[in-house]
Amino acid sequence: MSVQSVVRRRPVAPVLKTGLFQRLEVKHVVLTLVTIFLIYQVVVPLFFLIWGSLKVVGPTDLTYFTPRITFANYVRIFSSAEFLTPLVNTLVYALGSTLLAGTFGVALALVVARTDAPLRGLMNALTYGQIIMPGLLMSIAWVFLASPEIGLLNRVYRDLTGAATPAFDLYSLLGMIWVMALDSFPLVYLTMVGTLRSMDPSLEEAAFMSGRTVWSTLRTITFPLMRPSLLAGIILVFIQAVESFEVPLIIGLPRKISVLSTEIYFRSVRTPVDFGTAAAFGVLLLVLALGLLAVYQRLIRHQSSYMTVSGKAFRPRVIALGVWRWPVALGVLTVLSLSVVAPTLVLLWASFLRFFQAPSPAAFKAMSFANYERVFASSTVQEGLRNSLILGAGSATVVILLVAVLAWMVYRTQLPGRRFLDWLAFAPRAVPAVLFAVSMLWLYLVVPLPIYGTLVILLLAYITRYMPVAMRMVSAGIVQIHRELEEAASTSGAPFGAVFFRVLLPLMRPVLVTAWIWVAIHAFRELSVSAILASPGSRTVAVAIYELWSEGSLGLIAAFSVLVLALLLVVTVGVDRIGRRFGIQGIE
Amino acid sequence: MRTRRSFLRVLALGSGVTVLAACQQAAAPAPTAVPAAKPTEAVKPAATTAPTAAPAATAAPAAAVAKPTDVPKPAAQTAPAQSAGIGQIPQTLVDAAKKEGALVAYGSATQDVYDTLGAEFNKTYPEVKWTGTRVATAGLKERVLTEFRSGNVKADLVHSSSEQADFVSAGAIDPTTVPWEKAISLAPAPEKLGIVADSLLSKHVVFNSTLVKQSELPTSWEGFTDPKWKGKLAIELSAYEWYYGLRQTLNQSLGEAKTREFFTALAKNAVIREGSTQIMEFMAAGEFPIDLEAYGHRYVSFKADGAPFELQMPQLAPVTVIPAYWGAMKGAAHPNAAKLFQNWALTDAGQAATLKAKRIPISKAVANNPYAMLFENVKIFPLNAGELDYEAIAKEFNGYFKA
Repeated sequence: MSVQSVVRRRPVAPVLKTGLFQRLEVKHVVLTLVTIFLIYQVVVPLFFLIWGSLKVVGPTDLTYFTPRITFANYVRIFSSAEFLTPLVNTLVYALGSTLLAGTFGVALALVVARTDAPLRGLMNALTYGQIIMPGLLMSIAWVFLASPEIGLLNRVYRDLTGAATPAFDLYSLLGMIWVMALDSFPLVYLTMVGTLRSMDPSLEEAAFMSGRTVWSTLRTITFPLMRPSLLAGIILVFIQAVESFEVPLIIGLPRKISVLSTEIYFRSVRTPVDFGTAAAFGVLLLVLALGLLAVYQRLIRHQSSYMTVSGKAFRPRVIALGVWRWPVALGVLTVLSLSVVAPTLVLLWASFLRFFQAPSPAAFKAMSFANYERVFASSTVQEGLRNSLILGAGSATVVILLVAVLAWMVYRTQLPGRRFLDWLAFAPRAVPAVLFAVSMLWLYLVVPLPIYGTLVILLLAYITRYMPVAMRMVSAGIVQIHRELEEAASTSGAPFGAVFFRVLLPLMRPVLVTAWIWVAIHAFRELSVSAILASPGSRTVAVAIYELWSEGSLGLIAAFSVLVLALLLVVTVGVDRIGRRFGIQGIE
Repeated sequence: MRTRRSFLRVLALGSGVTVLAACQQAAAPAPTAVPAAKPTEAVKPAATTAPTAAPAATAAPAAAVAKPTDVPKPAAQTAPAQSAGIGQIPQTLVDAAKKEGALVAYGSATQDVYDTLGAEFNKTYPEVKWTGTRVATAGLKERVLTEFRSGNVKADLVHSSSEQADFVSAGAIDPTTVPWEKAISLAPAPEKLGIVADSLLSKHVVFNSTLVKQSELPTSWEGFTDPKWKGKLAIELSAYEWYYGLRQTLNQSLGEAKTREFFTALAKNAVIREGSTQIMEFMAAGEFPIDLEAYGHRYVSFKADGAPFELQMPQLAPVTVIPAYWGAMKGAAHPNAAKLFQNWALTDAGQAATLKAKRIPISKAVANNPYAMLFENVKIFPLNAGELDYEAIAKEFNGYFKA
């Protein structure tokens, strides 16, 4: 489909020609509206966060809004030794899991997108399977798998070797790193795989022609070209690890391994509440994340060097693995089994039991569907499913439309203030989820809008929360689409709307669909924000699981998880099928 | 200057709370008293209920005023006149509640508790549509206070234990008195608080008998500080009430310094988990052998489900017993419905619903109380709302167990 044919199909819209409006185009109006929306969505909650860090009283105190401020919280967190341990733990935990997730995500993306290894479709499908597994379930499943006492893997190990000590001790920093890496590598994979699939092979071919080896080509051509997406993925995984609290809560807590996120969580919502120091920590993390964003933007400043998706037709080069085809596939599938298959199976097993136990004749005898009966009878579960379906689809659609416009403005126009927009869109990612939620909560408790206690507050929070990741995914895609296509359309007389909707969006479709799925699934499984903002009537699936978890209904959680995983699988496959009808390469 | 003012403000607030706590302490049984010697009678459910007593959980209101030891025979349910006013809810209140048409409750018990109570309540009052929701224990106090202080009161009723005193001191509670509460209750709520106690919570040492034998267990609390128990003793993340009860008792028997040493040593052996019931689930699976502060009613239901659990009794005193309360929120949308429910909770039907929800009913009138065995031959530490400074105890607990 040539650019000309795209443009020709639609008559050119009349351009506003008179007076003041002469220079006012649709894009300026859109820019203004988007900017106002972002400022409201991002700056106002951030204000609450920063304000909170400057007050010693909590937001429920009457003097919270008096103009008197103090730096006491900062003094306290810097002068007290109790903060050093969580800080060090956080850095080790976040760096470790980022490194592991990054390595595996890149390797997986390369294998799936650029090699002839067998079963690549299965790998892709399993990765999507991993994405739909909430971090909370992942942690619970790993307790069943690798807890020193009851973990099935340890049991097998002890039975086989007769050893007295377990092979794995999940309740350690290493255990936390392992589970977090398994939870977050798909983010790296997703940001990479689109780029790798749509990469112009001419540079790599040139390297091959000049006699370079596969590894050398990867190192000197492919990896540098991948850098924007890779950095995007790595930065996001790092921040996600810093702020994640499900894994530290379930795996770190039993040995009192505290990290900043759990400290913030406890200080924000648990008695004794210390919102001031929690907010001060939040501000520090914000600064850290903004620093990372600055590094990222510096690295991709010369974006034209990454433009590898052009008007030329091509198919990405495939690396022939030869005898390594099966060993590579088996290696990848082993890790994927540990991250997806084993947790799913252990949850399935637990879902049939009243009390968790290792498979044995007695255990098989005790199996029943009682947990499933309880799930279907549960009002919490029904409420959660309904709300999460609405929120998942709703927030994904709004976010994708929003970031498509944003990414185009930031990377394709010369509009003033576009860098500020980029910053605004990323900034919320840097705010720890718990604090962001508390800030949102307070905003809508104070602002006299009837939003508190409804699904709208969750929708607004999800938009802000998932915009940054979607923005990075979509930006990484847009950076690689050569301007020549839009320029050709514009030159042929297409107005802004036509260029955007008929040239850019179709070209970006693969990355948009990927981002939509990512947002929808994450919104569906989101916990940290929902736990604070959801009210009776607006509770989501993850809140329902969290309530069941805190109630201790492990069998019920297992049964519910199995159903949720099945549902998400159907949705993901369905979306992928629809995507493929529009010519998107999805699950092979 | 700014910080100094803030400090003074906090100090003023703190002393206010302390004064209030002191007042409440004066009203309630003094916590410093030796629990063994003290009001064991007061909170003991009908432990010695005659086995011949009728099985109906909805025992006669007439029996309610009698001593727990003689809950003889269930009179017909339709004879409330025997004791003046017991279970009689003014018709004006019922009518006003029906006019409001709905009732929203938050609580820290499990969701099925609120589903059961609501279904039973709606059997009698279908016109008052019930929505009862568990708010994860940890977040309940902050959510309630936040909603109240910002003028967004969503719940008409709040169900919890010691946190209620904080709601009262924040001015969030619309006081309610159920006229016959004192007559029937094993642990009536302190009058000053204006809240209604409907059930009892109790804390026990429970162990998994497939992992550890009773004979191996220590017979004193100090025994758990032995390094051989490292990683084997589960404690919930916010077991503040249990901690307070044990601390008060040990302060009496060991002295304060030794008690501090004890908790420091105990913390080294402890495994901290979130959620009391979750701890029991993991203990049933074999993750650790001993739960130092298991809820009694949960122990009973786990055992009924086939968990290999036993109580370590009676040597490990005390059993801390904590009432759970219903507080009506000031500024709520359905104040009369809230009060109707508070009254109903202390009727025979309400107490039967409590039993059905697998909680320990507070009424002396409940016959064949399946939870009575929890309190047989044990020393009890009764803990009423307002007796402990929740924030201060929480900080102290965290100092030992979360550091």
